[in-house]
Amino acid sequence: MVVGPVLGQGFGINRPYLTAWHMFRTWGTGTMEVQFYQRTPNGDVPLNRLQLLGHTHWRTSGVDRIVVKRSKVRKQAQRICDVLGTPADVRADVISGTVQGWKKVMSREKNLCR
Amino acid sequence: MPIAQWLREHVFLFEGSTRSVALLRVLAVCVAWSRLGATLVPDGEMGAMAWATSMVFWASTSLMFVGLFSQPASLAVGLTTWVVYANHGDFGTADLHAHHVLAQALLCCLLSLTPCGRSFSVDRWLQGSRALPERGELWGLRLLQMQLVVLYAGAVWEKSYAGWLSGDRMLQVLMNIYLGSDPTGWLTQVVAVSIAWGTVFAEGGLALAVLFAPSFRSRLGAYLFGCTFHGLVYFLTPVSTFTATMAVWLLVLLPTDDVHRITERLLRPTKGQAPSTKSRQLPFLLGAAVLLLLPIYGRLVPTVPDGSGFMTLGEDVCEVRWPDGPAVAGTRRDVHKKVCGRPDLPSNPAIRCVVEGSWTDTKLTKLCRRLPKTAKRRESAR
Repeated sequence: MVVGPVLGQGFGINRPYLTAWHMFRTWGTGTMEVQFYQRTPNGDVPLNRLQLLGHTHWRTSGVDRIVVKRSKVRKQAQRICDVLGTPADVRADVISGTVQGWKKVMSREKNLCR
Repeated sequence: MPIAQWLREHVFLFEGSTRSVALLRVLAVCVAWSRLGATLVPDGEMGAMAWATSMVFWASTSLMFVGLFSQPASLAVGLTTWVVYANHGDFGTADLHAHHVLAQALLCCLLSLTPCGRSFSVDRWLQGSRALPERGELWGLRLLQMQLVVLYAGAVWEKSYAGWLSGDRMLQVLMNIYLGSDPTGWLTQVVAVSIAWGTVFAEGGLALAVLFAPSFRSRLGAYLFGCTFHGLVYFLTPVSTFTATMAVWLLVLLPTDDVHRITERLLRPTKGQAPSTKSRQLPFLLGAAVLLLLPIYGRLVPTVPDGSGFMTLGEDVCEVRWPDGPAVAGTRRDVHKKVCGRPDLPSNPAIRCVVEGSWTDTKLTKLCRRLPKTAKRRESAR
């Protein structure tokens, strides 16, 4: 009852036969926070991601609501580029959830419309 | 008081009413059925080990629920649940190798160390006038309390790091369940930090309450707080099984004699109340009429049941056979997944599906037509 949690959670020694209460440790990790910008001569203008993807509210945005993969960021960026028309310069600030907090994934380095 | 004497009085020789553990016994089965029932219903794809586990699970949970051979039944339920946890591959989902299933197994195993069949049970009923008083040695209850403390302490330890206490992890959870991937404002972040710290204090407080709460009132307050806390988690997140298990387990917070007193008051028959002279014919006849007319009315109105549910059982089951190859059978959706878009499978299979109750020959092109999307449901209970 006590040995499992002490070894597993205290010392990181995990074995199948020792119970340790690692609960919800990774739940929600991988969730990305995404902010798109349009680069203009006057600076970067933040874009309303869901509105440009054709949604009126986050509750009705379906699968577009949540992003957990880089490929999805690129796909959504491409759809936004199509809405804005050429020549659009769309960039993204993306951070991804990890157990320790947030990790930077993108920092507006690339024009995602190319 | 020396420790040895304290242990002797309050742990090894601790006695009390058995109604607490009896209620735990019944409620633990309800949680087990809600989580594992669908998984352990036997089907054609189960192996021998899974079949055996399923049979033992259903027999032992039934016995445990009604309180027949209560303690061995509790142990059997605990062991079969542990088998499901350890051999989750046999039951088709890795989700079963999780702490919520382990917690259920532990609860039932520890219950088997208590006289949980001495109250609210068939065991007691069969003993008749020879039944022992509803009191017994409850050192097993002390183990349940200790495990609960360890569990909550483990949860607090697990959350005691910067990623959680900064609110970042809770924000990730909120974004995942509700808010989506757009940047959040300062208010959401304040809420996330508050919930993160709140859960740490709640779980730590409950662990301390089990150990140190001095009076019935304080324990009752902690119990109600704990149930509210777990209820909110159940309602707001996809965490259901573990929450329900904890809400049941929290009964160990309450002093056993006070539980006895409360249940006694609830079960005590009312005195001096004359039988009602009001006729109940009209409500009964109205209810009977509604039930009898439902099958007729149901055919006219799609939202009202018409009793034809079983007529469509087995509908849309398909079977695909090749002359020298394997056979595949199951619901149309399952067969679609296994057969369609598979160039490696031999061509020209013989296909038949159940349509309006009869086997009907079907072509591969019709079988592999795009299936309608099923309604999205919340994640399965955990």
